[in-house]
Amino acid sequence: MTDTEFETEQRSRIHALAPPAGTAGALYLNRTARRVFDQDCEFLRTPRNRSNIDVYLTDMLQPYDLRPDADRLAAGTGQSYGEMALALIGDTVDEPVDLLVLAFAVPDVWPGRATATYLSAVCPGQPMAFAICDQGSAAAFTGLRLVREYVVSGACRRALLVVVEQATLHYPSSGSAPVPDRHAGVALLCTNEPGAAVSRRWDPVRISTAVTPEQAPAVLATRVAEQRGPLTLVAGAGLDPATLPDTVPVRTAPAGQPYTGAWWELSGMLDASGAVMLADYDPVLGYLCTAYCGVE
Amino acid sequence: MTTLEAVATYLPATRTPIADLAEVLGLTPMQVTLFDRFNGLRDVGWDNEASLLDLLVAATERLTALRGNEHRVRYVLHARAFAVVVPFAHNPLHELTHRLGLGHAEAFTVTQQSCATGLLAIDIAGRLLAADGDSEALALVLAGEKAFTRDSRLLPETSVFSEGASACLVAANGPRDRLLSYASLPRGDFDSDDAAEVAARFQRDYRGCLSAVMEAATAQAGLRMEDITLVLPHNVNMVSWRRVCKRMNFPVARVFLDNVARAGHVFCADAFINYQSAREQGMLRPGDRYLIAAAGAGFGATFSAMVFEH
Repeated sequence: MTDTEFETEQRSRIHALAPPAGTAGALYLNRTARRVFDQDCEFLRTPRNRSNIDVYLTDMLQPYDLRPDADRLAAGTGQSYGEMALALIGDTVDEPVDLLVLAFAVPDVWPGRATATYLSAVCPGQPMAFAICDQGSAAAFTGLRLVREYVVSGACRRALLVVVEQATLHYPSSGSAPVPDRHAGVALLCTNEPGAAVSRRWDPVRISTAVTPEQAPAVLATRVAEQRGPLTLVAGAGLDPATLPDTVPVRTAPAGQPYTGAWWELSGMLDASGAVMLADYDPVLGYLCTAYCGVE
Repeated sequence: MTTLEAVATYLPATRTPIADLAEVLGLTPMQVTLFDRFNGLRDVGWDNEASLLDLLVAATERLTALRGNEHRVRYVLHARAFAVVVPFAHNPLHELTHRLGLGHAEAFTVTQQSCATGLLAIDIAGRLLAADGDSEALALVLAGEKAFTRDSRLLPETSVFSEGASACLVAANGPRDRLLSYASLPRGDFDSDDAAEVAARFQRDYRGCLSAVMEAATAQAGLRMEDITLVLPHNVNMVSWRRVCKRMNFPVARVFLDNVARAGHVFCADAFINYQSAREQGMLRPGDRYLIAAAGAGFGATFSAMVFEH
């Protein structure tokens, strides 16, 4: 291959974007998939990989006077977001997508991997891909928000949001942020035009900051009240069920899925539901997030 | 139109010769010599006393434009090459926002494009601000990391990472440094178990990928490479930039390479460190169109370029 031929081939893979210049469209929810991963990942079955992860974790933990849990690492417990997302891509994507956003709170068992970039190579369309983290349960909402901004601004047409959580830390957890009970993931394929039998359109995601646990019920009640028409509230694990609004039907996230729970529930109810408001609260970081998906 | 309002950076004062780190990095004397002679990398800045939070605080303390404008900051983005750098659920980013009086801002990390993530963060910040439609609102884009482990210290035969940090205020409609275009080339196929095969393929494709993405960003801006007055590179090494320039027939004198030796490769912060130096040296004049280029490599690779008008 000549230099010119090589660069021509590379150019076909490049995502060239103009700066945002207003909104030109809408974002629709086209398809979803959800999976629980009962098995541990393939990646940690390889002794060399476990050894590399031990080195990484040992160095990362040293300033915190922590050590990796050698037994747990030797057992190869935990899941890889690359393996989980690969399965979810297979469940949702059959046409090229332009953008892939991976959202997570709990670290991957392969901490140094640029997983989103890897996924760009295995996802149809070789999308621009990146990850959002360090925001607790709000990371998935930020991911959806970014998907929406890239699509409605015309930068992308089809985008995949992948929300994942895995349940194993190879060292003692610190702080009060919850660790999941199981490995789970949800994928949402979103497009700039309705493609499903029922046309489901996302409103702008709303993220409130510095919300105290005492304030969260009232903030959520206001969000629900502001929305005209009937809806089902899908409440994530960070919201206290006893404080949820009683003015609308409510579905709560399954136990043990603090970061994917609301998205899991959404994925399971789409066929039979009308408008949905997705909501979650991160009591550690103070984010209260809502995303309204209406039916046209 | 996304704009850069202000940039500040922090680099550790102490530099350590790469030769002194040969054992830590697993380098032979010949490899140390090659880093010096061919790559232009003689020393690195590792601040062994500073945490990640300390690095980010040091950069934001130098961002004088932030003082008095904290209430305008709606988003804080940490552009990071490595997704996982502290034990769960430590969160230096949110510690920083509270320390700076930015608890009202939405803060998150954008990652997994390796060292090209810094340009992505600018694009994301601009899109969030544009969607909000508040002309007063700002986003604070942070970059900078610790070289805490083998993977974040050394790119074999290519570069050695330095520590440091940058802080950049982004606006939706500011008066200076308007973003004209952004181009990104993901190469997730460089993620493979066969390290030697990937390394060979990466070396083979590197110049072509970087050239293609720089030309794509320039074309998206409605320009040609000859219109670009200055390229602000990633500081990975000297030799690769000479080769890229030769391939593109672009004068290497128009690539700002002063910081390769002075600052080293500071993860996602290179773009901002070089922007600040170029401004301080009077190398950006009003109306100049300049290009920032980045290549992130590790497991997978992303090549990115942005064109701005100063």
